[in-house]
Amino acid sequence: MLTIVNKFYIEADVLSYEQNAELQLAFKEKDIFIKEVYSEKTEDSNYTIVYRISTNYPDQSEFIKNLLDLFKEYDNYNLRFASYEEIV
Amino acid sequence: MSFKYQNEITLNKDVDFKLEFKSKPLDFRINAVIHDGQWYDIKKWAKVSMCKVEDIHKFIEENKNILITKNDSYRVDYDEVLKWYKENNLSLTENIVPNNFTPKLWAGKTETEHFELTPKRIISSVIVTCKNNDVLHKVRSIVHGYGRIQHTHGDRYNIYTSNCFFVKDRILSSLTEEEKKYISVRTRSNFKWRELSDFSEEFLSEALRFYVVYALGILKPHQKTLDIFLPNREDQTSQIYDWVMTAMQKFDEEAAVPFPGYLSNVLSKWPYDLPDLFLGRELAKFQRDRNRALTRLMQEDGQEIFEDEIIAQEMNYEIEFFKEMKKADEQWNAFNKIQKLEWEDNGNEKSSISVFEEESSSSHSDPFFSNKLSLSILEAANETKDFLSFYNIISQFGGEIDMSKLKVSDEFKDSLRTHLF
Repeated sequence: MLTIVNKFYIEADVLSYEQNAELQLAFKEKDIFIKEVYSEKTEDSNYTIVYRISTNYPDQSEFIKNLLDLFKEYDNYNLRFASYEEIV
Repeated sequence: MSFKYQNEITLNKDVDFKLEFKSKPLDFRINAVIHDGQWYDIKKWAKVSMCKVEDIHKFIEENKNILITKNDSYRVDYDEVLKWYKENNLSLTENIVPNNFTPKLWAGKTETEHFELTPKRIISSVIVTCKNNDVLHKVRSIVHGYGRIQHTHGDRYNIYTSNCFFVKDRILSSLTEEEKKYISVRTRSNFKWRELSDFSEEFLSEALRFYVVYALGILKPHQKTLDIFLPNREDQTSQIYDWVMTAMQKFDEEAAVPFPGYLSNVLSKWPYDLPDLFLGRELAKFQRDRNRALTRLMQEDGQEIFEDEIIAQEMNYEIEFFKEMKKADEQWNAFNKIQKLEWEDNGNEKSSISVFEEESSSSHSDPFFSNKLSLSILEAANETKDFLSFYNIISQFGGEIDMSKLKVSDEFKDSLRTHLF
């Protein structure tokens, strides 16, 4: 088995799929592109949403700045980086 | 899927192709756009042709004989499309206009002509919601010969008829008082509707084949919603067929706009109906109300766990009803999780389809600390502009980081420490 960890994930705790939609819109408004979205309903009725983010931007500095703004703006969703082992 | 079909559904957005198109003579560009047989208003026609509006006005003046006009929109007919492609020695299956489809010529007509020749008709309907199969069976026999009954979703049925009031009276006068308890009957009069059976079979089959694939592209932003409510791929495809067919029934041919534009528009909205459709309005409303109430409570109290009584009070729900809905919600979620088990085509269970495998080094352990650490990493990256260190650090991110083992610059480490502690 080969283990690859090369993707860029952000996790968020949201209360509903509406909040997930709101967050996705916020990503879009900051020109951060989501490649995939995964979700899991946790025992306390919240959702943990995982966004796989594109890292292919011409201006990395702008990307990091936008990401930082997003993390600050949506602080209550516990935005955090995550890595996952994808076993192939 | 045939090669021809793949060619039809492909939009060429290549930059070189755009430049090549722009370098073609003005007359060719204007002709190439209008000869896909779709409706164009002058502004859009000019935009797609990459020319000025005045150029289009001039073209219209000089080519009135080939143009069909309606509501300030223009198109050409099937014969004219074929004639122009033949005169210019062009293939009908090859993209010649950037971002446009090849001409949709099905069953001897353009798509636009099929819709024009299959206009919507004014009809009425009786909307029946019935929770009892025996009563429903009786309703079917009552309306037999007076209207066509069609299941829409859940317990809801539409009876298409020429006189909805007559059919409603007939249903209500034929049912007993006891039977009426299980049914609600509403009328909707004088609206326009198109029956799919009015289309030619060949057109319908070609159009569905094309637009279901087209819809898959349009629905990509809603893929996760589809996965939640329709975990089975076959169910998703059926739903997409249903949406495309409904759009074909509702599309107003008199508006002189292209059908793909209309379909894109409705497909951006209809997936939002899925929660109501699959959860039922009551449960969908409960979920929305509870989420709003929890958000309010968390903002007010700063806590994250609340007793059912407090949430119910915030939602203005009776506690018994709240508990009943909560149970229904839990059952739905449990059922949904079972449905989500996926299998490979070869029958082997997928090795790692979910990112929520226990082996994954996700940051589930302490989201608050992970959030603080993530924010500090971003601050450090923003400050140092050392993006290589940034990607190195987050590729190993599991909520806790041993900086001594990380391949990050000293400058980045210093900045991270400053922001973190």
